[in-house]
Amino acid sequence: MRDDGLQFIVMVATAFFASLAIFIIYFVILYRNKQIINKQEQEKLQSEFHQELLETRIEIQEQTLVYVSREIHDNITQVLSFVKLNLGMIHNEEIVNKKKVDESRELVAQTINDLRNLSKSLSFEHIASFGLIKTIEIEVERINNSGLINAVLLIEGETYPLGEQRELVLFRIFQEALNNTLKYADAKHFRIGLQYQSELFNLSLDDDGAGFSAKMLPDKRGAGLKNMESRATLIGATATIDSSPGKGCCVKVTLNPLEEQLYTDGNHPNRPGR
Amino acid sequence: MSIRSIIYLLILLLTSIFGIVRYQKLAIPFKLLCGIIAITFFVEVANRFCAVRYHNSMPVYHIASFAELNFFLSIYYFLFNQKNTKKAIISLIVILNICSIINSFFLQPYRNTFPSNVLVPAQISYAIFSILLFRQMLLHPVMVNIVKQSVFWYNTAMLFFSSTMFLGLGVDNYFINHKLDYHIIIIFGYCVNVIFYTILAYSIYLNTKETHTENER
Repeated sequence: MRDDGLQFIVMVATAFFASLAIFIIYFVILYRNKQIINKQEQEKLQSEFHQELLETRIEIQEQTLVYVSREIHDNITQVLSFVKLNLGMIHNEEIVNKKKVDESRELVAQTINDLRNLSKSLSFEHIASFGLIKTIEIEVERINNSGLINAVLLIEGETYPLGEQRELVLFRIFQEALNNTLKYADAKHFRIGLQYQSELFNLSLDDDGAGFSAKMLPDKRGAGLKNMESRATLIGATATIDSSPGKGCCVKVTLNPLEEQLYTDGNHPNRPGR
Repeated sequence: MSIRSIIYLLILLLTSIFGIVRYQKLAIPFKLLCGIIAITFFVEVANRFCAVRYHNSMPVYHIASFAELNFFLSIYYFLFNQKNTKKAIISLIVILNICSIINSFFLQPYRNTFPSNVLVPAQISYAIFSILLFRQMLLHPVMVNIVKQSVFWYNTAMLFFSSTMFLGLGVDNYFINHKLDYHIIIIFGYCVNVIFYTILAYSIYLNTKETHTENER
């Protein structure tokens, strides 16, 4: 009888400690699962926050560019036109040095032209109305006229509109890459490739400049390159930057035109560009 | 004094010294924990002294149960975030203190009776609060590995100790009623205490103000 009782107690004690151990193990597993879920939620929130921050930053940038563009178009170029008109109205007999006045008129005319082009390249409205290809063509022409670099635009495949938003972002990436080439690369040639395929669009921007190693980059330039990547992410594209010292730089942006875009809002509708 | 008693007292002493050394780095609940472990050490020494000298250590048990009750419930007060739970703990501390005084003077006199009337509800409340604390931890998990969280180990020790005490009481009665060898129960009690205080020592080791801040959220 006593042995039975003792056995029963041992069994109860064993069951008790086993239950306690199971409870603790179950709790640990549950807790770890909760930690994973929480981490995922936090990461999601963080990525949403970054996305919103990026959108807002680009939005503000665009607004500023539109403002600068309008100022150039409506104010500065108007004043310069007036100066040009005034110079033209000076009678020949009043001029001591006619050649200098003519030169000044030509310079003012060129400045007006340059500012108009700059205004067009800054403004979202121009990009929206001309479309990506036309806007890049205008930019290429402007760059070639400046004599700073020899730019070439190559288009492959049957073109199709990518949507205002995406075209704007792609154009800004193009501008950033061109700006980098002009500032740092000391390149002679700049090649812009637009590749249109049914489910894939590629934008490639190559130069034959000095190139760089990612480790050697100053913060400012590194930020510019990161900015290109961030912008690409915003439209669901991927940007890869490939460069090494002495071998130029190649920026490639790839996107699926059929994929739904992340960056859409009322101000910049995601409808196909004209 | 037996070897097991020496081991048990040594663990209490070492944990107390370790707690005192790390005292400044500890969060409030773990400072209290160090306090109760140090008190337990002195109580155990006094208990043995009184048992040998006066053949009665019951008054020491009454004082110990009173201190234990207040310290452990205060620790839970600091570990919980919810105001309602904190209020419930304060109320429980007041009620159990009153009951403890009444018990020590009238129901289980401190001169010759073990204060089981106080210890049983106290152990029940520790078990309930440990489960509630586990729930709180699940509701607000922190990004620290659970085995590196002092609160987890403290709470595990408390659940282990308080629930084992019920088992101990049941087994205790069976052994007394059937006049079995009580030696096993004593060894069992020592083992439980050694495990309990070792886990608490580990939780003190893990605790710093930083980790506690995370647990408090």
